[in-house]
Amino acid sequence: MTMRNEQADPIARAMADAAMELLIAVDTETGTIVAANSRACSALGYTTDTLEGLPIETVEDQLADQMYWGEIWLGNFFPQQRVETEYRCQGGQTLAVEKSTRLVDIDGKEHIVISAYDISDRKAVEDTADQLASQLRAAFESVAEGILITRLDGSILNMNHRFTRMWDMPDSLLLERNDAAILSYIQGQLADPTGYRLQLVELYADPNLSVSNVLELRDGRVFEYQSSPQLLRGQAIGRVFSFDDISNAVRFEQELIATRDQAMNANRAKSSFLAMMSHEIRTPMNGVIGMTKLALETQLSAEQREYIEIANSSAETLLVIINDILDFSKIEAGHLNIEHIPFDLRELAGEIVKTMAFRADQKGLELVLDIAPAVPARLIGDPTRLRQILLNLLSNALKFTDTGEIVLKIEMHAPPGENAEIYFHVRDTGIGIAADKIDTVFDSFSQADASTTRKYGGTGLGLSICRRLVDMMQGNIWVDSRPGQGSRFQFTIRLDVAGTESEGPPPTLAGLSALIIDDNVSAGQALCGLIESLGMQARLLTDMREAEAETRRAQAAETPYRFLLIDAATGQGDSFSLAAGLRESSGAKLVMLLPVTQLETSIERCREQGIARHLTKPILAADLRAILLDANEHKAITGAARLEDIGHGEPGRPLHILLADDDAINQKLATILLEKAGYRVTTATDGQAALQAWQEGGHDLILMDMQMPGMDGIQATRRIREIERQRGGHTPIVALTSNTSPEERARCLQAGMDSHVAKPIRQDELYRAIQAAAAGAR
Amino acid sequence: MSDQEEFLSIDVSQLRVGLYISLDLGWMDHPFLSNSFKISSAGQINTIKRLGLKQVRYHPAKSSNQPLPMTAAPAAGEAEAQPEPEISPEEQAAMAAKKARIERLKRHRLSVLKCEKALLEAVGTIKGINKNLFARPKECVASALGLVDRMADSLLTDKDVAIHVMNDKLAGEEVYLHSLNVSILAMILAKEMGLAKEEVKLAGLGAVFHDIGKVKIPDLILRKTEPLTKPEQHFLMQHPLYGEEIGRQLELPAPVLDIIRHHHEQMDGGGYPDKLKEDHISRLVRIVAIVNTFDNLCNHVNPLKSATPHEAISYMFAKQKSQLDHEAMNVFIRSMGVYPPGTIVRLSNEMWGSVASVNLKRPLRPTVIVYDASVPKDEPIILDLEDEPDLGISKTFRPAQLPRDVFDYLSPRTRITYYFDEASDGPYN
Repeated sequence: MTMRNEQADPIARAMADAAMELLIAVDTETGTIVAANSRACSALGYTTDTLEGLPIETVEDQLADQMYWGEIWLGNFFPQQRVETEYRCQGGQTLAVEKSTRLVDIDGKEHIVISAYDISDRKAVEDTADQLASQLRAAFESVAEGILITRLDGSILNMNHRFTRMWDMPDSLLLERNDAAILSYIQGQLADPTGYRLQLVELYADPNLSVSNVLELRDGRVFEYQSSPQLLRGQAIGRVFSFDDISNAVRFEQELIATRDQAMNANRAKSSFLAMMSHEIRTPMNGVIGMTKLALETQLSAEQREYIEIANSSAETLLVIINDILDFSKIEAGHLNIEHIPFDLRELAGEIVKTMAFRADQKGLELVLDIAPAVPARLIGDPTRLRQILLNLLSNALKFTDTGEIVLKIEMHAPPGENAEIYFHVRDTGIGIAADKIDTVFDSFSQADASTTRKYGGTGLGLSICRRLVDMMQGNIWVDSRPGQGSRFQFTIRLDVAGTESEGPPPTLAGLSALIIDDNVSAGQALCGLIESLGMQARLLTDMREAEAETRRAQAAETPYRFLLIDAATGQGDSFSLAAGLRESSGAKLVMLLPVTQLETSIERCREQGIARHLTKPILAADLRAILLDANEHKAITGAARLEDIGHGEPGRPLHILLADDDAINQKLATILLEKAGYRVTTATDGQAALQAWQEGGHDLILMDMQMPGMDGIQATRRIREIERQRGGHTPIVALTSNTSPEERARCLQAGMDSHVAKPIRQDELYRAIQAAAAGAR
Repeated sequence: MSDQEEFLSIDVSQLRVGLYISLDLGWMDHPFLSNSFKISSAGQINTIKRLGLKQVRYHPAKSSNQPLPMTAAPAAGEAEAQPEPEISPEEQAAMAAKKARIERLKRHRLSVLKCEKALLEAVGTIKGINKNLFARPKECVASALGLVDRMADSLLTDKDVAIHVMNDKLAGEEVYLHSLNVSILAMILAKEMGLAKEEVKLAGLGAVFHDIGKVKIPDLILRKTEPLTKPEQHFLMQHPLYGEEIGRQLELPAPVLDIIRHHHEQMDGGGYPDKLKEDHISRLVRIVAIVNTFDNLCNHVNPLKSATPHEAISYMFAKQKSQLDHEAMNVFIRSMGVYPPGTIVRLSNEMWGSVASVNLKRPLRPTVIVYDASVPKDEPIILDLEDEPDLGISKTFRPAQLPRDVFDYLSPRTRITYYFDEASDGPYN
């Protein structure tokens, strides 16, 4: 520090210069700086000489300081303590300082001594802190959640406006700054204040606990809150609660659930309604079909016959559609169950293709069944539903194919174990499906397009039902198709294996060879496969003209053919006489393969040519095996015997049947069918009447409708069985039911019935059931 | 939110100079400035003892001394024998000062109420003018004249002006209106500069209409918070010309048109639209230019960028000297003070406060509403720094820098609206 006064104490000067603060002495009379320490000079950018003598307002040029010195010059001195201001440096820049002023007597004269600290560092820190605080405050206030910050003891440290608004806190309460009052105000709004208090106790017991929870308010709002510890250097020093008003989300969720339930209920109701309606429609349909069938057996003019045939086939078509709808709605309503009963897949598939064969042949289509030998003989599953799928796919194929062939191929996908994956495919050479439609063919109410529906008919439910059934059998269904070239519907299902034991190739046929002549390659190959599975060799020729050369070649090679299997429809010429000639020249056993249409003509042709053995196409493994074994042993059989209709079996003695059905048309229909077959019939219109009639005696069998007014079929059966237990005896009872579910069947059997027949009643089914039941009783 | 747990309770017998204590009494029930303070004299200890308190709360962190050790509990007889400390003359003076302060508080509140009433009326008038100016121009000009007349009448008395800062909302209504605020301040400044009544009224009328040309500028530009582009700036700078044109249609007097056209002119010729200099700018224009600058600084389009009144006036003083009229600026500073009303300050005793009104003679010593958590917010302590020679303003703050409880208590304005009342001449000094 230098002073104008030359006697300045050098020690004091040294001390002043060593000080950290800026020291400036100002003459109160002149207002000029009379002394400054070296810190002041260097901080302000002056030399000692240039700073001393300057008016103090050069350095202290801020408004407040100018005013201060203005007051000083007026003689109003007052000391200042730690006032923040800025100093003007020599270069024009400013320096942030905190200054204090004192009045000091120096050499008998009043001076004002300013001591000032450079606070630029502190200012910078404060600025940063301000920035940070403002960011945090902005974030604190702009978040969508209400936030409350408390100390470890639960006293309130801070809250944002959102929080106070969420809880509707009045200003007066906030100004009270009474934590207990605020807390109880909050608790007063809660549906369960005690529960919340317990949560809080738990929270404050463990400062490091983080929780989230949901609070219900008395006004119906729902808040979700999270509480986490506020940490300072790893130590919990408080708690932060953030509250989120989730009332809307909760409400939306509830509304959504309600809407969904409503929709599901409506859908279920719709399905139940459909199921019921379909059932109600089936009963009169039954009457229509039965009556037209009977009418067709009477004397009719050609014209009448045609009308009634059309009516009958229309009714059959309608029944198919109704069945589709019934199935579909059952599946939708969750009422359809998949059965697990043992069945023979080959038998099932054979039966199916046989039923389709006539129609296929009428359209000039080759229908081929090709089952891989590896497919197990006995499987456990639902044959009824599997039949439904196959029939659907095959009749679709038939419907959409005009020329060519339809092949049903069944293979084993997974190696056989307890559970086998069976792979089915139905290939046709029909119109195919356009690429843009292929994804929707399995959807409900969708056919490839509306024009298809117009041209080919159908509900569009068939494939959808197939898909659902396949789903229920743990499988997949899909389709490959090319428009104009045909489609290949494929599906897999999982079935339990009941037994792998099969008959095995018959030893007598082993090593024998067969020549097959069939111009349809698929059919021929399928037949080759069947023959090879019998341990034989097979060769396929598609042209009859090559056959003779081939048989000669075989003879020359000393491996003559043992069998000739010749398709009657092959070649242009008279295949029967050519076949007979070939038999003569080759010495082989001949089996003619006949189309199912015009069978009688074909058989006549066989007789003419002395051909004893023939099979109808498509060829089934069991039939082939039997006929080959037979031919090998020279046993003659008559093909005609195979054609006999089992439905017309004559009952030994006219059975007396009691028919209980409340529906007049059904009763009439059944009566006519039964009487036509030679049975005697008594009728009853309800369970009570049936019981009475039975008690009068003389009945060999009872046909019992399940649903009747008053005493129903189940009750009547129970009563009858009860009485029989005391009296002895057993009258077979066959249920007539439109509900063919396994549960319903079980109910029949439980009540003591012997078997059941599905409604609408089909003639042959009815006869078979009656014969079986009557045979059982004998 | 309370600081309670940071206090320790001590017996009054442990008191000594240097302890920072809190009294559990109403503010009216003791002579001290505040309920919490640092003991600076033995006299204060005597006063505390006479208040009948047995215990006070003591804040170790803020104290510069330790409490005395507890003396053994005196026997009942001894306690009674202890002489009552006498009431010292300082204490009597303090008590009297406090009474005066309470008086002043009442007067202040009344004055603010009066201002609020007048302001609400003025706000209604201005809003009506803004709405109907083009539908019923004659009526609007007449009602502006009436408003300015009424304000001039209450302003131009022999008494000094008390300038108050108003709440952002009164009776649920936003009260900040730029043209009204400029008009009020312009009339105050004109009066303080000793202008005649007619001129004061012209200044007020000119201020009411000074930005009228902005009706032709799209809101998109007027409300834009980001910096304007060059073309946008140019467009905005047309508003004095548009305003003059509208003013002419309204048949406003020439000095008013002068104010409208030139309120953005600067003394150094850097203004617009005519780049006028010095003597070419009229006195009324200079007055409106200053208060308009001040109000634009305090009430920025983006409130986050608003300066505090203290910052605004310091900035104008330091940075805009060359642009603003020197004489008018000095008078403006004298009227508004270095810490204009509404400025948030911290006093040298660490108290927070908000400047309530200006002391025209002592610009560094305004009247301050102080924050004291123990005093109800709606009846706060008001300190006249003129009476507190030991207290000064150490620092000013922006509202965002305040601790939350201080913010809630002092409720700093986001928009600074001023109104005036005649200063009371009671026992002020």
